[in-house]
Amino acid sequence: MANTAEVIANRQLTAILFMMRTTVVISFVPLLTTGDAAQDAWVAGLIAGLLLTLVAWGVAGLAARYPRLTVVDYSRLLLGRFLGTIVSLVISWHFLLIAATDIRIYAELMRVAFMPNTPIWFTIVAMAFLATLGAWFGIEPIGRAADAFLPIFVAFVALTLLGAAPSFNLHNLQPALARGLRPVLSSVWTPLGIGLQWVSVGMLFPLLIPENRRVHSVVLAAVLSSVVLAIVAAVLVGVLGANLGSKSLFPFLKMARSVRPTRTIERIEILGTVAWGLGLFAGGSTMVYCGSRALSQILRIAEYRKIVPIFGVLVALYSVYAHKDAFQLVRFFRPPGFPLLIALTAGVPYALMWASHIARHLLRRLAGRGGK
Amino acid sequence: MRLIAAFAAICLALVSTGCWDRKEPDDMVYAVALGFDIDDDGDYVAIAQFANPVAANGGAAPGSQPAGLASFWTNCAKGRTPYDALTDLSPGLSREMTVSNIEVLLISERLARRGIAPIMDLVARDNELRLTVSAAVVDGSLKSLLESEFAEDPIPALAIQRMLNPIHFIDPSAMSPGLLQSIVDMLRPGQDLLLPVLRLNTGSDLSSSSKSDADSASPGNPVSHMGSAAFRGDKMIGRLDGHESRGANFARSRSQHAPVSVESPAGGLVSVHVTHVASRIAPRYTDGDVSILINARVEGHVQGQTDLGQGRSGVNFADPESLQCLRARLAQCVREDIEHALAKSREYRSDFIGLGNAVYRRLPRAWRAGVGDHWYELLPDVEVDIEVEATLTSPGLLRESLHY
Repeated sequence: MANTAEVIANRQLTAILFMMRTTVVISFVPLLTTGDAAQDAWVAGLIAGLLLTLVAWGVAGLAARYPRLTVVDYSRLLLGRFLGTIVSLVISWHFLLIAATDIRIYAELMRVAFMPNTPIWFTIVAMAFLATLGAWFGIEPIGRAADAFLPIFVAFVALTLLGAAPSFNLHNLQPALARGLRPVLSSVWTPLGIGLQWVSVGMLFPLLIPENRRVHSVVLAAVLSSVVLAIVAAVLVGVLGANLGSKSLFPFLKMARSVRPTRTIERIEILGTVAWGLGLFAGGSTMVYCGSRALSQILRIAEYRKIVPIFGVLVALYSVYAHKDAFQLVRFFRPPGFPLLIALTAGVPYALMWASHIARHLLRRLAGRGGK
Repeated sequence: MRLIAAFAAICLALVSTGCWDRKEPDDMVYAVALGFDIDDDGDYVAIAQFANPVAANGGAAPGSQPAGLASFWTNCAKGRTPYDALTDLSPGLSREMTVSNIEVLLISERLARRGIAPIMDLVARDNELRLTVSAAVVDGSLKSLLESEFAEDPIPALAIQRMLNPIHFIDPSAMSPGLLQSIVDMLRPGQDLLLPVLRLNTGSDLSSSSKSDADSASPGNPVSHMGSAAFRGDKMIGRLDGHESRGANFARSRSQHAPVSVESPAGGLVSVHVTHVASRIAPRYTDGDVSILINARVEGHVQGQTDLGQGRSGVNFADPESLQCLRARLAQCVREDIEHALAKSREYRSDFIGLGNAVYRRLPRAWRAGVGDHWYELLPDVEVDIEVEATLTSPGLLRESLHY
């Protein structure tokens, strides 16, 4: 059972999830770079969004059945102590994976685009330290930070898109859906896999207030981030074209660097980069927090803060050593490897937990009828 | 603990102000124009033009500056790749060179005919170069062009950039699409690149430029634009003159302003300033044949007329028939420009107008069914209808012509 006095508003969780997903998804725009959707990337975004909304509903729906428990608690309850502990460890690894990979992508951006001479470990350690610091202070300061960052985040992303709008060419989005659905679907799986971020709901659900809006806030974040993702994909293709967009390492940055909105405001890439940094802080610190709390529950350590520094170090090490270079990072996200990994490590456990929950529910009903 | 954390965060903020990539502006030298050529051995030649901030500072008249304090200088280097050539510029410089502020990218005709893909690859990949710069092909010596002085601007790169920029709107043939648009054009199925051509005027050109109305250079200007370079893939395959370039830009809706002189129904010529052009390329696919309709809507206002005086009053703009006649002649003039561009497109088998791209976008099944694979073979024989609707929005600030 969750042993904490911390609470965050549903609104703050929506902000955290929204920024976390938008940050990663606009960073290397997997809709364009991991599949063959090309000019139909925005359709892939909508399909991925629809599926993510279902996933969000599935994750939040299960958590809503056990409103005072974390995923570590109810996985053991539903799957038994042994299997539940294994699932909890896998979910803890998810938090580590998400934080480390998000930080690594940001560090690669800094190395490729801004600071080619600065060692990548330096950027990683700096960002991991900030995420650890946020997690140390707890979820309430993270929630308040997300509240403060959200308007800046949205404004900066919107201003980048507006700045690129004069270079938008509708011809780049044509022909629409001419090659059928198969190429579109090839671009759906990686963005859907990145929806793994929603496993954090399993840890944060008991902390959300008011209780009656919990599922709504989780699903709302999925819908909003998916809409933004589809819009970003459409604008990107409209500006860069499907070919240049899909071949860019960081298409959003490429777009921002390729346009000159006015003769006085010539450079706007800093807006997207700052927004990205803010989102990374909100997402990274949430992941370190969730990971530390999950591990502390598994290891039966009452104070999760004892785990936070260790988890932060693990995040930094994983981020530095998991990927040798940008090529390997790009390969990591490519389907079918990445979506399959997420389906096996997150999809299967959640499917098992839902199945167990439904079975328990049915057995209870049958037992109730037998009693009558 | 919180104090320690806050202290650590502040330290982190201090050290992350540039880290290993800290660059002092005083240690940098900024290239403002970049040119690429290729020599007889197949080596790339990079030529960079640098602004001299010391000469530009202080507001002193150029004449009062010390001798040798030029407002710009150029540097030239060779290499086996464009990047090699670019980096080989550095040994001749006492400061670190940056190309993040270049305004124009110029490519020699020789290199353009050899292929510009390596240059575009470098530009799209580099973390300093931006796709916002204007690009052009240079007829003649690229090095001499970059070493030329312009009367209007002490830094030639800025003058060339203004020549190629849309603010130089009155002659759409010179408009550079910018590197982003150029790369997008090169990568689009059924679309080829069209870049403006700049020519370095010789001494005789300079002396005659004020007399020749065909030359768009200012008197004494060392550089003029001479139409466009048509590409097929990444290779330049031919040139378009000013009218053909203008026609191509009309058909692609890439020009908004242009001067057009048409024969007046009352005798003489009427000058029209075209202020808006919107074109639509509509492909049709019937019985295995592709045909295309280019529909252009042109809007303009009357800017002046000739053959006035001695009792001749020019066009009566209040007369609907005269206006209709003028509109028809304006439409005919625009149609002819587009036809000339189309003829060159067929001759070169370079689809710079983007007819193939229109088929790709609007008839994707036909494109995939084989049209796309044989587009350049089909292009010379594709039936193209051109419809131009012209509108005159005003007679300028005169309701009717003055009587002398």
